[in-house]
Amino acid sequence: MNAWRWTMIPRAPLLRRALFLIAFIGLTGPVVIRAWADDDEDRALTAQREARQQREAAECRQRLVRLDLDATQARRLLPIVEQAAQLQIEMYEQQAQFLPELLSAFTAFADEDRLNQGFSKDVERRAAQLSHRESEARDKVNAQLITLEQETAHILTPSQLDSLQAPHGATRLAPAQTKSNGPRRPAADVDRLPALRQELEAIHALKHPRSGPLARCLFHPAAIEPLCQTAGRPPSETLRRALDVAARGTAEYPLEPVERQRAEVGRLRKEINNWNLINGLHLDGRQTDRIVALYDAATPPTARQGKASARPAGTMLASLERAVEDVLNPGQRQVLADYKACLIPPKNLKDPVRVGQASDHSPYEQWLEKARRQTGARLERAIGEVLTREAQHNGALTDPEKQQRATALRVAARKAAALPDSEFELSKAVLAERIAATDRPKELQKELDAIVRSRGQPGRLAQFILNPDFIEQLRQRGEQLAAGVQPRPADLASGPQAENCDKSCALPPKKTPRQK
Amino acid sequence: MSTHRASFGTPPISRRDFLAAAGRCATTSCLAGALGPLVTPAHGAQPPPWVREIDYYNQLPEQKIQCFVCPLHCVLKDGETCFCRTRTNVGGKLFTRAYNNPCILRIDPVEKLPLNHFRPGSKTVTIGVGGCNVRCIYCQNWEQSQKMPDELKTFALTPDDAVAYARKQKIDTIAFSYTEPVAFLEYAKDIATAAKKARLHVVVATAAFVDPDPLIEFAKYVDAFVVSLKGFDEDFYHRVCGVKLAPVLRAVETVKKRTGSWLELLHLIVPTYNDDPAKIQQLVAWVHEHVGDDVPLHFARFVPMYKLTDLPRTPVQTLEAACAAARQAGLRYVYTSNIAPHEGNNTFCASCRAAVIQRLGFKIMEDRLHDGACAKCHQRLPGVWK
Repeated sequence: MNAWRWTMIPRAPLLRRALFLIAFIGLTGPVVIRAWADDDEDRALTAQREARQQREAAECRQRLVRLDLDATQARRLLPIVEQAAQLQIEMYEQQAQFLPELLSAFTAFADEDRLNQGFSKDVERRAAQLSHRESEARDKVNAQLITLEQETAHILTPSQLDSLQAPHGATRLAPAQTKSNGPRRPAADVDRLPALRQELEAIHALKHPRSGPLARCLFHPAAIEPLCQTAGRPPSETLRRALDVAARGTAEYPLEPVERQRAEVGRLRKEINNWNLINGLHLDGRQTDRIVALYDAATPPTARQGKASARPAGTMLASLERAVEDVLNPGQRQVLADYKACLIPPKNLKDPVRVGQASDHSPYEQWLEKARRQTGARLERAIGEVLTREAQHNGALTDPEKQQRATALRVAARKAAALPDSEFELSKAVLAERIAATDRPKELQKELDAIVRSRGQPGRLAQFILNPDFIEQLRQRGEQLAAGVQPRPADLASGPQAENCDKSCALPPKKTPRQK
Repeated sequence: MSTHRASFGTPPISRRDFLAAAGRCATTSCLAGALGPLVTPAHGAQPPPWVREIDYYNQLPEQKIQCFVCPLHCVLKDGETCFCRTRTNVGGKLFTRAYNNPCILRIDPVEKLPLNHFRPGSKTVTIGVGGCNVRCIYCQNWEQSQKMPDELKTFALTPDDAVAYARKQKIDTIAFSYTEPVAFLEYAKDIATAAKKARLHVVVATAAFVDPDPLIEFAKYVDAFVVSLKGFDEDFYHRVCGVKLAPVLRAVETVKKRTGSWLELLHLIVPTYNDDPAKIQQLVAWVHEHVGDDVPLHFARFVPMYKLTDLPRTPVQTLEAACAAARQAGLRYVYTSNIAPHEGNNTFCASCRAAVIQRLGFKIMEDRLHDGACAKCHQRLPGVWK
């Protein structure tokens, strides 16, 4: 009875009531606040998704209007669209199933990246494998969508195709021509920018195929209803399901949590890319503080509160870029110029060649090592493999170019074979350097950067460093550097022990197999 | 009636011939089995080329030998090999297995030794032979250093060949690195002698666990040494490297005070093993007191390797703190290695603090040093610049 009285608020005296309320708020407050915060986050995500869907749907409908399909065309298109819808449903389910694993792998990877003490093998392997699997699955679906897109292109008339941009694969992008080494005129540079970008995109598309505007229009869920109306047919079961998945997800994988996970994976990817660059630049405390201070000075305090707008723009950004560039040393500027955003940091940043390290052979040195022992068909196969790898990285070569490259490789392999082992060992770095293919994307990127900079526009530094997320992470790194590291006490006894001479130094005669 | 079975090109054999042949085979096998160990070299299928006798050893009774190249002073019975895996007692004489058979041959920047004050930007023909008299559990080249030279894939290279190749490649420095030159001291010395005759430079990266006499003799032909001072603690040296610290410190002093060779020091910081700030302070204080403030000191980042794969890499903060401690102790040229780009890769003028050589790892990005002097304040920097 007493207990009952104690807990019953109306019967308790005022003080008890107050205490009870404080305890109640104390216990439930954080949960409620977190729920509100989560709710806000969810709502923001939902709003973002809806806005994106609406924008895409509007674009898709506009394109459909421009296409002006007739009923026959729509009827012929529907089975293809249905196949694409089936693919998209499968991809959604596959991704949804995969995302939690990816999220946990990326979280572990980002945690280690933040510490800048290298990666444990398991964490690195898991993140790399999962990321690779994800991108492979996406590429596979995209390749299938491209095939379907090409089928749709056959149904449309040339004028309809012209009304959109050319579909992927329908016309081959002309590679940007390399200019002579003569002085560049600004007007030519301006003309050259789109060509450079186009070639870079085309090279990128070789590795990661992307469907074109026709697919983005016809295979979008927003196209289903108008297409069915034009064809005079109701949407099939698959198409209805595709609409459902786009709006709500599946019963097993509802859309909202999947979207949340997808956004988190995207955020982690960005965070990891930023850490990779911060770790690779090895900015010291003074440089870190200076860059953060320059950024803060260029950004009004009010803008800093709302992240999206917290980035200086235009000439302000360009002058900030120059100021930040002065903080970096030539080595750091070189790293930045060569930097490619990637989940696993590039080798030169992750694992630079160490003092006294014996094994640092380039891939071409390794190739020469093998190729000098091969002749005839085996050598030709080895040359073919190099050409394939280079084409994947640099874009396809024309037949005469291919032959020229194969001859160069063949000559180098024969020259290497003719050298005695010891002389080859000393010459292989030079030989490898001579046959190494130029890194076309890197060359294009450098040219593009030079043009952009010559026009006083913000360049790579602004792109990678001068954004609120990077600066926030840099601020964290500054704090880490200032705090220093408290070394743990050495525990030499528990770890592995070196072999020593305490008992005897002499190594017994090595036994031959017969003696054993 | 004789029957002939189908044969594939081999003539038929009678029972008598077969039994006779089998008997001969059996006899040969038995003889080979019994006499094999006597005629087969004790060290493997191929006999090592016993082409070079060691200069520093004593003969003891019963064909025993005591080696005096390194402070271990191994006592060997006939057929036994020193702790370094390269010197073997062959019938009461000590021979090296590490001669004319390098397992590593490379062209490197001199900064990879690391030497930052010795002809910056120049290249070296670097030679390494299997074997080592130290047993660091984090050795990055353990696949070569922890094996006998004749257990590895090697190249045939005489001292004269080494010099000829260097000249052919237009490289005027020969370096001994990657494994421990003390383990192939005789070969290194013969190459160095030939190199000096050909007016080439010779540089050496070593753990300096060596006796003074062989060191002084070798140093006559060496222009620069990089000594890897692995820790500043006898316990660390014993448990992690299997040897002792005191002889190393003695060797460092010997190089500085009794030879004319240029000296730089390298200290690899292994987290939780030798990163105690107090120990680092002792180390830099010793360097300052015993070899002087002009000796460049490189603090290198540890990367998990060999038997220490469970450790993280050295935090950059630890390296920076070590550099700060060294500068505070009065050392004027302090570097960070194995992290690039880093301010610690650069050479700063000790007088005006201007960056006179800016590096990206081993690559020189900017060189503002004129005849070994700072372009800004004209202060001369210690080192070998030409």
